[in-house]
Amino acid sequence: MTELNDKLRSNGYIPDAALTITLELMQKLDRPLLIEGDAGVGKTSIANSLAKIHNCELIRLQCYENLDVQSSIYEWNYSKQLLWINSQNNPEKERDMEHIFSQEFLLERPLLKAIKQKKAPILLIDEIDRADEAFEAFLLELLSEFQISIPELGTIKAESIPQVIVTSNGTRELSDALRRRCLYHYLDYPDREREFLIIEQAVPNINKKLNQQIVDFIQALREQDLRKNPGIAETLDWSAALIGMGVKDLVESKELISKTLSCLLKTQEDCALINNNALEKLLNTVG
Amino acid sequence: MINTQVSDRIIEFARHLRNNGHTVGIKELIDSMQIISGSNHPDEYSTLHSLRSLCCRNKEEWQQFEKLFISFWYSKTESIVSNNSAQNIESTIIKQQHKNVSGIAGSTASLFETISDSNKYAAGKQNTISKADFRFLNNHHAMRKAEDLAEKLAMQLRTRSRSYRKIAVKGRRMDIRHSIRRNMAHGGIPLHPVFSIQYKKPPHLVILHDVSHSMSWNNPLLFRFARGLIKACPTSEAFVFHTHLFCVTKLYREKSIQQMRTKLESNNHLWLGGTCIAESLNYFNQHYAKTTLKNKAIVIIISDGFDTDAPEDLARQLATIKGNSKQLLWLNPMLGRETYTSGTKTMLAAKPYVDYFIPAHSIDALRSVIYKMKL
Repeated sequence: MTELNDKLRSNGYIPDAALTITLELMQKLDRPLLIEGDAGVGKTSIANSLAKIHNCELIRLQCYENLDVQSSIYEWNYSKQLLWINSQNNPEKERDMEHIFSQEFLLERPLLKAIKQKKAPILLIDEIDRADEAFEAFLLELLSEFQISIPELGTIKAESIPQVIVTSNGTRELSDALRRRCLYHYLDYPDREREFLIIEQAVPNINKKLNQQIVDFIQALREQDLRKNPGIAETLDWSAALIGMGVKDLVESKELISKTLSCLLKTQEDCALINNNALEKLLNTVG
Repeated sequence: MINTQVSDRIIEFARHLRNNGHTVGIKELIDSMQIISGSNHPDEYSTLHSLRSLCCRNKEEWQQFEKLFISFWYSKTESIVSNNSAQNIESTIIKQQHKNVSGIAGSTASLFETISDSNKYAAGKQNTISKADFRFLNNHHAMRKAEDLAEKLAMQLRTRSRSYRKIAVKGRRMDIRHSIRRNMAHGGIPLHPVFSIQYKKPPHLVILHDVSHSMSWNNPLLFRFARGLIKACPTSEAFVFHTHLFCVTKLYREKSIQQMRTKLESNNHLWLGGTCIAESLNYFNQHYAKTTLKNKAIVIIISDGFDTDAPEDLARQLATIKGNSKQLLWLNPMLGRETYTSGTKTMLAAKPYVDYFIPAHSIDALRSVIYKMKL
């Protein structure tokens, strides 16, 4: 287990032990992994780091409302088909139809591209909850059999089994059929120790005291009743902002903190909630 | 090859999980056995997390798993150890080796020590916000989470109505695939192009929301649900009523929830008092029905049905609404209570005109509203 953990760390991702175990399991069983968690906890970064570790291609499919087969799996190259039909001197309907629906006229979209790679890639299906339920149904065949059926062409089997990571922010309930095909991992906000290491790695010139203070502040902030809790990306942005402004100690830089809180608070309500009094209380929790 | 006793224990564990609401199928069971048999010295931590990844399907199950794992392997192992004490324990699956999985190859005592020593194993807090009755969401954080869920759930209606497409001879988005197929006689040149159009427009909803005192305990959530519906269906209209009826469509379209609340309160719409459903509906029929009950509207009444008006009056008003709308749904938070009987005079009077009475006491109950609508 530690080998993968070390590799992930050396590639800039600090996983917790449970996540390492799940990733090991995913590789061992060749099963897709569904990762759920709030936005900004590091779901997408896992795929990036895995691609670096395995030195393979990262194929990403960003899901959105009304995402369809044509944009995600395959599409016929219509202009090429038209040109080919017109170039035939004696068109024969049956033969032509057969020919224009062959591999030669097929445009590969991310999912088809992923299963046709010689070297197994990392396939990231990001924010699946943004796609429609119909699209989830399209995915089922790919996730269980690693094959794609194209009505005009037949079934295309995977040349190598991609490591599939499906992420969801939980904005809608995913179907049970999809969940059943995947391993599951719920990724929470990092604990103090992990967050300290993440900042240390991403912002190398930060001093330990300030790092610890930032971690204390962020952890306390997440306990407030915020509409949008600050994720790892926000923590790193804030750390970089503080370093850039020459902050050495959080407690002594209250004004600067209130000016840079926009890095952490992303809604009007949250900004109103963290007023001067709340900020004072948060700073009291900082060691 | 996996030891029979180990496989029996895993099957038992799977049953234990199923009894606690997990869905563990054959595939998960086989994979669990494969993982445990494939590891020479499985330790507690990796076994717990491996089985958790295999056997959980959502956040709630994930958070509950640790507790179930500990309760099963701790208590059961003790009994197995004592049952086998007279026999050669070496030959059993339980070998008292420190750091090995209890019930599979280790002691539960060590498992428990490890777990209590490590803060990583804090007992999972079962999160069942979507299943919880609104009455029991006393925690402010849970309430806000549920409100968010309610609004997001309502927004799914937009996805549901947008996902239908059909082929038409006129439209904006040309469907090249179908155009080529239909024009093969012309060598594939789209002389007669066809278009892909949205099959269904979002429905036109009219929401009539009871904000009287008896509804106060669940109204924040139902407000957010109604707001989600209004956002999902741009032409929709919303009204609130207690003893009077007010149009609140504009307020529901406010981007900020805080602003929506402030305006509702300042306009005295959140008046907590008695309920005159029939009188309010009468006012609606006289002043708003002509303009809002168009395009085959779906009318949604959100109310617990406690009315001070006569049931016959209510029936009359509902008959008018039903006659001018496509569907009439009644969301009643009281229907989620086992003790509540829908045989109250008000509900009986409404019955002939309402297509569906839907419980509205939890997020899961509200989910069915989306699917009961005739799009």
